[in-house]
Amino acid sequence: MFKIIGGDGRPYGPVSADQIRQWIAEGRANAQTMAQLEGSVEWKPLGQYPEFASSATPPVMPPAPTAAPAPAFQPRPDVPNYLVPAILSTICCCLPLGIVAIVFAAQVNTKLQAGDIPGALEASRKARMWIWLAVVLGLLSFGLFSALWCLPLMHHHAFRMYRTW
Amino acid sequence: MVIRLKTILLGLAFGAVATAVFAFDPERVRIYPVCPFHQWTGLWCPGCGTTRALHQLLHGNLAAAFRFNALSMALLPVAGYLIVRGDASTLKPTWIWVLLVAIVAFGVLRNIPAYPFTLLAP
Repeated sequence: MFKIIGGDGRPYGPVSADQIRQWIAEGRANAQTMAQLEGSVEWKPLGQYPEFASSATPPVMPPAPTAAPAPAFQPRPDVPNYLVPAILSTICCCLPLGIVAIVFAAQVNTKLQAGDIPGALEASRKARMWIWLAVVLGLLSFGLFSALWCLPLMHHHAFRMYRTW
Repeated sequence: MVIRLKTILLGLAFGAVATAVFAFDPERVRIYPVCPFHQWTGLWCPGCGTTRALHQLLHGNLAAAFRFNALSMALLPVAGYLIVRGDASTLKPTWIWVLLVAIVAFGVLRNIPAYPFTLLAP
């Protein structure tokens, strides 16, 4: 098991060697990513561990000083769950649609915790869609209701004008 | 720069709304949009009474604010925490379910036309 320093400078793990190999394959970690074997006190770049030398070295073979910086290592990518707008749309615009948005917000967190990033992104997209639906339906309903409320007044007004004319 | 402009605009909008809610009592002036759910169904939604509650809160009447909408007053600090925290997607999913159940339960309870529950209606 290894601990690893992310692109944000914070430690992550302990994680298995297989997990790190997968991160290297995904470009989220590379030979320069600092790692610590669990139980030891020494931090070394991944490239110096024999376990990862083969998978981590190829992209960084030329040790040029102008080499691109290590890609940001993100064990938990930023997937917005739109919880606050979802609650606001439930309370302020459209109750039923807002509740669907909150359910999808909860799904974002569940899937993020399970490591299902594509699933979390999908739930995030759906949460945003339902919030917009709630807002649009709320505005439409408000407009329609105002129109219904105003129509009799307008009719009354027109009728009076006609009579006096 | 873009983020700063967005922040300024949001702050201005927030200030304008807060000023309006402070200056105009929703019980006397009909300038605020009315809840569509309440318009169509006649039932109280979980958020009904929030504008009146905020008006009372801005005038320092905490008890009156809670009488209009206890849930949204209780959720204000939660919303503040979530906004300061910034990333709500790392919350435990359980808390979101608790929040959802609280909102729905409050919405159901405040529509029961019997004594202890009528306290929850605005």
